[in-house]
Amino acid sequence: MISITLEHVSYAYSPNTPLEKEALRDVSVTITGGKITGLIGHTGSGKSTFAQMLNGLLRPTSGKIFLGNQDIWAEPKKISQIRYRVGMVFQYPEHQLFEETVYKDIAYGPINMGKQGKELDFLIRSAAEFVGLSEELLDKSPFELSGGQQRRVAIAGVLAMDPEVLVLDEPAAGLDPRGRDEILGNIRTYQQTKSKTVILISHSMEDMARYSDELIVLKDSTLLLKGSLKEVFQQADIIKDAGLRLPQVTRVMLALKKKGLDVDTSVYTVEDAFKRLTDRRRSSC
Amino acid sequence: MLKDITLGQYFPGKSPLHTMDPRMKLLLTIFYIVILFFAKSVYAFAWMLLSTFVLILCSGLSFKLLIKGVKPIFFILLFTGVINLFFTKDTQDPLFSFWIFIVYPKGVYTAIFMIVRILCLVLGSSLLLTYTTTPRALTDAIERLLSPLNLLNIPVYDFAMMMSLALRFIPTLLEDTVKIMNAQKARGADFESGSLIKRAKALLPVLIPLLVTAFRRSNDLAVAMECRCYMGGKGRTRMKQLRLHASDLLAALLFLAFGAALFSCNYIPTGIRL
Repeated sequence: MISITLEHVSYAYSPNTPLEKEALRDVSVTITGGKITGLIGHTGSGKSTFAQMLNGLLRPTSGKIFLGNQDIWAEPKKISQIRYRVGMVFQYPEHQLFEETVYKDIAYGPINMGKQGKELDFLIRSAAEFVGLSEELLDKSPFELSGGQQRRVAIAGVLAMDPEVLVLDEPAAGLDPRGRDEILGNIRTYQQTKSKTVILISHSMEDMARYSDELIVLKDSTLLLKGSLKEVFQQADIIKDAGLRLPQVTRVMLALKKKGLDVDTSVYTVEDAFKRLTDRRRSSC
Repeated sequence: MLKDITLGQYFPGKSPLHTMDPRMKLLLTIFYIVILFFAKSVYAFAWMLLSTFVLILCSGLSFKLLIKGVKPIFFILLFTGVINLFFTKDTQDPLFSFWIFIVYPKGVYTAIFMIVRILCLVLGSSLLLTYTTTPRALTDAIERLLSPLNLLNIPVYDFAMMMSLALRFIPTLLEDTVKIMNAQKARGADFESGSLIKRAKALLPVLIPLLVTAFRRSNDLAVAMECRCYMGGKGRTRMKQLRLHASDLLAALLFLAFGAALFSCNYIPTGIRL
């Protein structure tokens, strides 16, 4: 249950050139260990830059990043060690599959880490299980699979490295609603059984409300909000200002309240709303 | 790393060179290159340098940028210079000799002239063409200039289309490469250390997905083109017609004058033999 701390982190693309573009400005935040932290923000707010800094793919132009108590850039030559500890799943990860079989593709990361023999086999099989890939798929070519299954293989490829922290950039993008729920559900189960630290980037406020414990909101390269779901969603105006929307059901509740109905507006999922509303009806009858 | 490639890149602008008709630019570039090889005397070389300098001013591009563009050919220049310096034989007395190296005055001149010529060649052609012409305009120009080949049943339009599509996909594929490399780095790939063979092997996890991506993209593109009823070149008209303007003819005249002047420079007597 390791946490990540950012101290005054800034990042600029092509610094000291006319093309210089600031992607993050003076961000200080702590990502709580053992929880799912959602990272949200409008397009171009710096989410992907933020994510790529957590495992050392990008080096902050200024500021420090701590994994636990360790400054990840203390020894730049050993940055690959950090990459093993902080797993990163990119957008559309299925585009990076390359091996002959699913099994071999999942093995790529752990083999790079130096795993072998029974331990390697165990890591691969348990990762495949977490993402819901059945045994017989392991010997197939990843290019024969459907898009949704390819996505699972790619995620398993990162899970197999057994990282302490898992960063996922839009893991459900482009999937149908069922595939979405399954993949995000798998991640939730994985996080809970192994009590890992997970950072989830998504555009969907509904997904965030359902799957994350804490939220970080970015706006124009700076940190806007950070806190638990409730703390963040209560700041409706600030969220709106960042070009984002509260979950649909929360907006319904707010509208109901505006119409004079006395309802609890701190509900973020449909199930929750259903429960609260039916409870309320029972008690008023 | 991959973003530092400037050779063959287009730099937007509104200079006379940018606005010239691409067909005229293509023809003038060929003319310019041929003429450079006729320079034989000191005056001709001086005239050549001066004209290239004027060309740079006309393009409105910064010198810093041009120097960056010339950097990749630095070693070719150095190599040509050294070879010419030491291996030019002459009947005159040598300037000095050291061990097996004998340097004649002619060698010095040849070395300098060769370097100046190559520099003018690269600068002139990149200024006239790649730096100031969009790849699209360039393929358009090639297509129009080669269109007589249509009579020989050579599908010029299709070739031009393929060329512009290939150019269009260079930045896209570069972007894909960076993305895939990052993804594999996150899985512990190491592209920077180890022996040459080890590094080449490490590229395999990048090349295979890149190839797959390229096929997927071209398939998508083919479908999109068919959806918009693309039938090949026959009977297609263009939205942007290329038209020659008075300024293009003026440019052609200037170039002709430049060529004529260079030829006459060859006949001004100098003390230096070549």
